[in-house]
Amino acid sequence: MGFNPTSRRHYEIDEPELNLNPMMDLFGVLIPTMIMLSAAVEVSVINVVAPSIGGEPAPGTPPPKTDIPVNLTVTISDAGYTVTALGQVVAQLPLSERPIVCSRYRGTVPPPRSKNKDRPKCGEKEGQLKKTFLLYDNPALTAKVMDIKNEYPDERRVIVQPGPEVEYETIVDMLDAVRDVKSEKGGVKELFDEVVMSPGS
Amino acid sequence: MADDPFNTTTIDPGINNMPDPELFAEHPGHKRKHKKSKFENKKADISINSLLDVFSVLLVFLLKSYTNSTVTIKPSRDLTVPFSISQVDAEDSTCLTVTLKDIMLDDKPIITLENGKVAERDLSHGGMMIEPLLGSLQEEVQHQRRLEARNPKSAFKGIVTVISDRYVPSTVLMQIMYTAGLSEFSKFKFLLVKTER
Repeated sequence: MGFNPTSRRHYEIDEPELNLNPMMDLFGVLIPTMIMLSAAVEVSVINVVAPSIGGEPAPGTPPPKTDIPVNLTVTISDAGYTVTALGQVVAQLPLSERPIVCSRYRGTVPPPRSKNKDRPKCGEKEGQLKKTFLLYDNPALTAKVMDIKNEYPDERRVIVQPGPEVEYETIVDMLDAVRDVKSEKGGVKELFDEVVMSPGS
Repeated sequence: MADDPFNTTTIDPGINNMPDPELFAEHPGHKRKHKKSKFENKKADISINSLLDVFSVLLVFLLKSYTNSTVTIKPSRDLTVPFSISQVDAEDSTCLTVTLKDIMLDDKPIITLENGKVAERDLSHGGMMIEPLLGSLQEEVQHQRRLEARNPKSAFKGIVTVISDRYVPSTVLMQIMYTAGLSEFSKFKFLLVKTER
């Protein structure tokens, strides 16, 4: 039988049709499961230790260092930060008036709220808007502890003494300022990442 | 004359006669093909390939954002967790949730706060120890010790993850840490919402 070019022209490729229904069923189960298991927000932690209050230390607790030369202490009050090292006040960092992006403070004002409570709040929809508030001088604090770190590169401990009315958010912001800093090369330089919380005066 | 277009003598006189109907009759034994209706018995063939593509992308995205951390922040009107640039991941441990209204141990309410502070009647040790919390934490320690005795892999580490509202005063945090310290919990992890530097 001779080759018929017409049949080639009209030849239809019979594609095998895959049955995708089982796969769809699998996806239908997997996706709701993953949505339920996935965290709504990404979380991180800051490790903190409390000062020893007598009695035997908990198992696994390293023995306290006896040769701490610096005793870097940051006291937080509604007036600002006081940085103490080697038993001496090395810096007083008062509040400073600066603009800040509202995205972190929607519906409220940034700390210290006792000082900013009379100012207009950041709106719920003012994500990228900048407003001026009285703020803790975290950049200056970072610069100061960097100086101390350069002088005592092996020291890692910082003692935090918040005042009684200081809010948790203030403590966290302060810890972010002293724990590490972004280096010029793009990496992260550790500063004082061993945090000890101590009751303030 | 042959070129005369009006010469009607050359035209077949039977040209306008009706054709013989027999010519169109069906041959015996021949079954007429019924043209099927356009929509008759046509199986609906929905292409789900595009949907499958969407699902694949969605699944990859969810797998990427999936975290195996058991410590999560449960959304609540009273709990606004501060942001932090810390990149340290959370680990499974006892959770203390602190809001201006109450303190919860692993989602179980332990004590109700009054105006964001622990009531005087619940305090001892010079206003530093929260008595109801101490009892609950000690029970938790005993429970974890029992688990440790049965399964050495689940060793008691003395870690408490603190999930606190941004407005909670440091006094309450100190009281919690002091109380936890008395209950053999010596390490604390402040759980925060991770943000970019």
